Amino acid sequence: MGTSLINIGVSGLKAQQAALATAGHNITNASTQGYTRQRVSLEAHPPQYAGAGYIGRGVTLATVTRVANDYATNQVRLDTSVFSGLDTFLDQIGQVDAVLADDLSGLAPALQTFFGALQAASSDPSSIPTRQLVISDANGLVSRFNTMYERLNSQQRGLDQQLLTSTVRVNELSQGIGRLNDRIASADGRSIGVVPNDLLDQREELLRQLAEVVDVKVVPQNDGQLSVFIGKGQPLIIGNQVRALRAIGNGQITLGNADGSQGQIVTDSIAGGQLGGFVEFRNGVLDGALNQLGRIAIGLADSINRQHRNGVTLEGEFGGDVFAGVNDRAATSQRASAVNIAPGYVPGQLDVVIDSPAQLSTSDYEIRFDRVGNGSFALVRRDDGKVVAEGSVGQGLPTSVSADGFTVTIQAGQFHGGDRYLVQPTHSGARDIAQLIGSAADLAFSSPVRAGSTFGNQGSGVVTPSAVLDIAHPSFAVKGALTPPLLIRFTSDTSYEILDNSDPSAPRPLQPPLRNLPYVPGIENSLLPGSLGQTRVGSNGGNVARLTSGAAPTLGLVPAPNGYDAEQIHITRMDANGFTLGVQSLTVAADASGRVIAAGLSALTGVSATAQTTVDITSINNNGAGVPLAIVVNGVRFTGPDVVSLDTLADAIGHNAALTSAGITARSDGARLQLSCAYGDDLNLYISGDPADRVGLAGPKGDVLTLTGAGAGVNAQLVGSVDRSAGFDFTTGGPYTFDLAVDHGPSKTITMTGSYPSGAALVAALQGAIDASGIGAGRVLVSLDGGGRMVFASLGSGANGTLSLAGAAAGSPAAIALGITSGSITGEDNYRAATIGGSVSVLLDADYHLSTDSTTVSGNIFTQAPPTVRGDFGYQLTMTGRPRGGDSFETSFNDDGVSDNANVLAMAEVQTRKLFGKDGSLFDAYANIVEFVGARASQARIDRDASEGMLRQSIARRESISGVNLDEEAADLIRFEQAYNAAARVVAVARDTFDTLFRLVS
Amino acid sequence: MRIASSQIYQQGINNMIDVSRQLAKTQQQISSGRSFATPADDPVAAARVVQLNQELALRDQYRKNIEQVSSQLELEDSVLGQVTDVLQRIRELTVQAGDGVLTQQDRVSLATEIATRTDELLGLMNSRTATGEYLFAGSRGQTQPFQRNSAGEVVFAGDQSQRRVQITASSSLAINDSGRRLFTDVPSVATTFSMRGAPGNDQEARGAIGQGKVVDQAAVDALFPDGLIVEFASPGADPDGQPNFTVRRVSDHRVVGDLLNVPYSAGQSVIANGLQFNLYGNPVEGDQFLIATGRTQSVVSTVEQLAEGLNEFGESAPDQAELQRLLEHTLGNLDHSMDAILKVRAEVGARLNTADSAAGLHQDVEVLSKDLLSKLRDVDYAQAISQLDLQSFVLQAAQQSYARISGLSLFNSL
Repeated sequence: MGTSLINIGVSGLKAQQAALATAGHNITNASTQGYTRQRVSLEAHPPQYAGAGYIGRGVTLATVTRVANDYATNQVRLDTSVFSGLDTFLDQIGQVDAVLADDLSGLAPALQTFFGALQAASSDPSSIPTRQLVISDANGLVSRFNTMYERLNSQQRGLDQQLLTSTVRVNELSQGIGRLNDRIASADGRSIGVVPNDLLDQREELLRQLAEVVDVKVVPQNDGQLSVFIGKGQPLIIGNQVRALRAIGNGQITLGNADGSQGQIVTDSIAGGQLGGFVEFRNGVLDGALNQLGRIAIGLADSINRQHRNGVTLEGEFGGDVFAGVNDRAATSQRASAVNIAPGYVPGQLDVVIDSPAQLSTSDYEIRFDRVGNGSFALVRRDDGKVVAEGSVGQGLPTSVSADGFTVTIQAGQFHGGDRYLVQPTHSGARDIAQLIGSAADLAFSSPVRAGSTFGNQGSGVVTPSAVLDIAHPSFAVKGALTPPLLIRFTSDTSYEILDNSDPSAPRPLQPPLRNLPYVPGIENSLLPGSLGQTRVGSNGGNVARLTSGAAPTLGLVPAPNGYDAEQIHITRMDANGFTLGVQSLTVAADASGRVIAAGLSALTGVSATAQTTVDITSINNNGAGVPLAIVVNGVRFTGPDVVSLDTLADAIGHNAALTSAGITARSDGARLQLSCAYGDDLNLYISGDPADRVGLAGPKGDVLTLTGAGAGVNAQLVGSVDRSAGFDFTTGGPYTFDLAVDHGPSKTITMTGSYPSGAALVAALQGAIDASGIGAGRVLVSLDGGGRMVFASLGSGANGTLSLAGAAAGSPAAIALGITSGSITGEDNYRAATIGGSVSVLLDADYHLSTDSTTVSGNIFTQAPPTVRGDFGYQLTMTGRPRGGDSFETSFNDDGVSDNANVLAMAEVQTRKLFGKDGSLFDAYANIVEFVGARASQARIDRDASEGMLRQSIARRESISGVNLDEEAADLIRFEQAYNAAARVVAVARDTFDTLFRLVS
Repeated sequence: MRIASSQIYQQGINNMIDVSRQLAKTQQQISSGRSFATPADDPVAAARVVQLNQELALRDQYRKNIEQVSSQLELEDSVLGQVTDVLQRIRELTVQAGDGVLTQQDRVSLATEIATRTDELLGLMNSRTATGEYLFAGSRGQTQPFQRNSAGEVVFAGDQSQRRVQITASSSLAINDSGRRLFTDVPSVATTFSMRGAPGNDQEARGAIGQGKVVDQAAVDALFPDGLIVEFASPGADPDGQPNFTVRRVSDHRVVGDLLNVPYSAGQSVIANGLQFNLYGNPVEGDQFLIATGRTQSVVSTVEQLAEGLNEFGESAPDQAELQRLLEHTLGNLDHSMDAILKVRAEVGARLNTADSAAGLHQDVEVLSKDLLSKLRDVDYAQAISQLDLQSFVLQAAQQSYARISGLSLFNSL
């Protein structure tokens, strides 16, 4: 009978036993990690129909439930991942932080000591102990860089090890979860929806531990199994199928395929958990810190090296590099590595050369070959993903691309679509830096150039070498000397010329010459014209500076042409590849002077030109006695004692204000007179004299010309306007008085009286009166010309012949009678002319080129493609003060200048220079790293503390739902025990009723 | 809300852990004296500290430079002072020599003292610093600046560069002055000249030029600023095949007077353009000797000419006239020399002043920077210790309350 009391009692006992067992289970598992408390749920047996009603049949155990909230559990798992990731990150970054912070092991003290030694050396550059200190401090700095690199690098290696350990752990946990999945799916009671509570707890706990290592997404399946995904949805566990995570080095992690083969790289999609923390740290902080440190090392080494090369050592030799590691082969070939290349192929060979530390960034770069496979690739900056350069290997190797201060050259190898190479220009900078100089005497602290004044300067000009521009310049080609040493001679207070001082007794002009350079007193002037990149072109064409003479003698000053043809000069601007960017053209007219050509060229962009003219007079021979010898230079006439010899002519030219102000000077050493025009105007020379007189000329290109006198010129003549062939009557309408002067002689008064009926008589009378006047017999010749007009002619010819009539104003009797009004006239000489044109010296800016379209092979002013020399001198001088005309200054090589500190001063200045542009100086960059890491660490600490708080909260919530409260369980124990006792009492009563019935029957 | 037993314990422990962590941090601050242990604690302050340290180190270096500059400039000043004293004494002797009462013998004894003074002067001009560098040699610090050449004249073998040293970030001071400016390029009363052999002369031939004298001042004045060059020509130019030379002007190479292909014999005396000089040795073809005129005369030259004159000039009237002229010129040139030295001393004084004020500036800024550094980096003990007290108290309270609560359980009453 199911309704028997005893059964009811027994059912109660059994139920309470189960409840007690469950409470006991809860109590004993109160501190089990991940345990969810269980509750029994009891239900009454289905009642039995007994006619009048239903009779209950006791209690039965319905099920044992887990009191769990999946949402709370999931939340705990998520927060665990987040917290674990941040905690790991903080731990790692804390180590870097400590390295940078330490006063003793940080970089700043070593940098300061090194520059301090340089400053000390600037006070005493020749002292060996001071130099030795620089070397040992440089050594200290290099080892500090190397040590810091090693610390950070070993952390990187440690990270790789951690990644390995963590992936192994993930795989272990995955295996465990897979097995549990299996057991849960095949557990008894599955079909009726009964779940194995404790197995679920264990699986949950394993999942939580997995979440500590990597962030996971859990998706429940229908059969109670859980599928686990990581990253961006890649499956890790499906049922009992587990895929393996592997750390393959270089911070990369792969997720294997279902069949066990190696799958794809998932590093970038992993977040959260320890793995996420490691990856985030490695990519976000460690790489950045190493790159920044490397950039400082490279910037320092490069700047110090560059400056050091421009100085000279104690032995007078140019300094080499102080530090290695910037662009040595060992460094450049290791800055690029393969990330992802086609399987089975060997990585290609890439070199990375640093061009300009100022433009370096702190990012890594990637070369990504186009998937299409046509050989084109892009250079991508990793920090912001921008493509900074593009190139192609299709045109043949080697090929280069440049960006951000460095150049990547692909030297050799095979490349396929999709290949990726990692380019890290600054990553190993702190490892590669090494010291090259070992000996104190090899430090180049002095400037190679010495400048000073020569003896006897009157002004207050002071010259100092200010910079060395390029030690590869021909000026420094010979060891221990300047080629050429220069003499800077002031021709006036505000202008100077630069000469070749190789022979101090005879300074020579440079080729092309540099004259007439302006100086501004009172400011700092840079003396040497031309800057780096400029080139200088001199006119060297066939026509230039040729002596040309007029074909025949001319009356009066008619200049000979200078022999220049018309031509077009082109100034072309080309870029480094020969591609034309622009052309300017200048049309030069025939016979144009050097000055005009230079002015025309200077008006063009990128060009400045000067001109000057020189010619030598080699001899003066005054052989003839008839016509006096006269030499005319640019309109100024020299005769008499001035032309006795070359010396006298030179002196006379020097004293002539008109010529001096036109820039024309003459120097004679007795054998040769050098005539020059500083402005490039044509030099027009004329000679008048007897045919036996001769003047020898020589042009700068060696051509010679002899000018001979052209004989007498014409005399001075005054011609009347009235026909007097019928004579004239002076008796009426007088008085007929006039004054006459002739041939530079005195003026005499002539009075005419009488009447002369014929032209001849008139002429004779006038002649007689003039001859008798004291003017000198025969000096004035009177005649009538073909039209009967009165002609007074001087005896002297050329400039010697003058005639001047006075007292015959218009309308006066004398004027009417003679038909001539008052006036003077001078005779004209006969001249032979020679002209020499100026040479042009052109200074072209960088990228500008000069060419002409001259048709002859020998060229006009320039040859078609004239040769160029460098426009600069390789160094620069500055002058202050007020020099006077005549002062001169010389430059020479700084031999024995061991106490000169110009170069070490410049090296010390690197400390405060803004090496990295807007990123500041070396120290600013270091402070940047400290702040960068410090700020990240500080942020990480805040984030971690916040996530710890969130994790604690979600744990608290889960516990409040699923955690065991011992007091509660204790109360339950009491309750269930009482119920058990009560049920036992029911069984006792049932036994009593049975006993009673038994006694009745027996 | 329900609280699991584990939570009661966990919360209590969490709180104790948190407070312990803070307490440990405070304790570290107190024991290290630093308010932040790593840059993470205060990244901005950490970066600023790096920069402040760098600035302090720079200023320290500048101060060291200033010390170096000051000590060297003071040495220079004291040497120049001694030089001035010597020149002053020579001036007195010059004035004394002008006394008509003196005999030739007296003058000779004056000349002897002047010779001693000259040596003293040379010694001072060749002074060295403590490190063995010559003070007035410009950048040729290991070369004695004032040396006698083969003709017995004192020439300057240094150069004119000034060494500069950084005393602040933006300014530098010259640490030396060239002997050229101090002693050689002294403005002279009358036009003077200098003579030297060209660098390219044959060394073995030992050709030399010396004992130059002005015999016609007006001619020399007219020659200035031009110079003369004595060129030895090929023996073939001389009818006897002897060595011969030509004297030309430097500016245009014109022959001076009739000094064309003059036959040469060793020790020959030549007069050109008012200058007299002697040629020695066996110069070969191509050797050149340069004579430059100038308006400067080195102080040693002045003094030596004085001594020579005192020794040579006799009692005759023309000699006496020459002597008077010499004494006049000497006085003028000595005054100019002392002026030149005084000018430089004034500059040196100004530089010392600049160095002083720069040092003062550095000191002030250093104090400020150290102060700021301390504010950023050092812990405020008062605050830290009171924090320590508070945190210890809180920790104690947490521990005790935990102990109390953990003892409560229903099982104790069962």
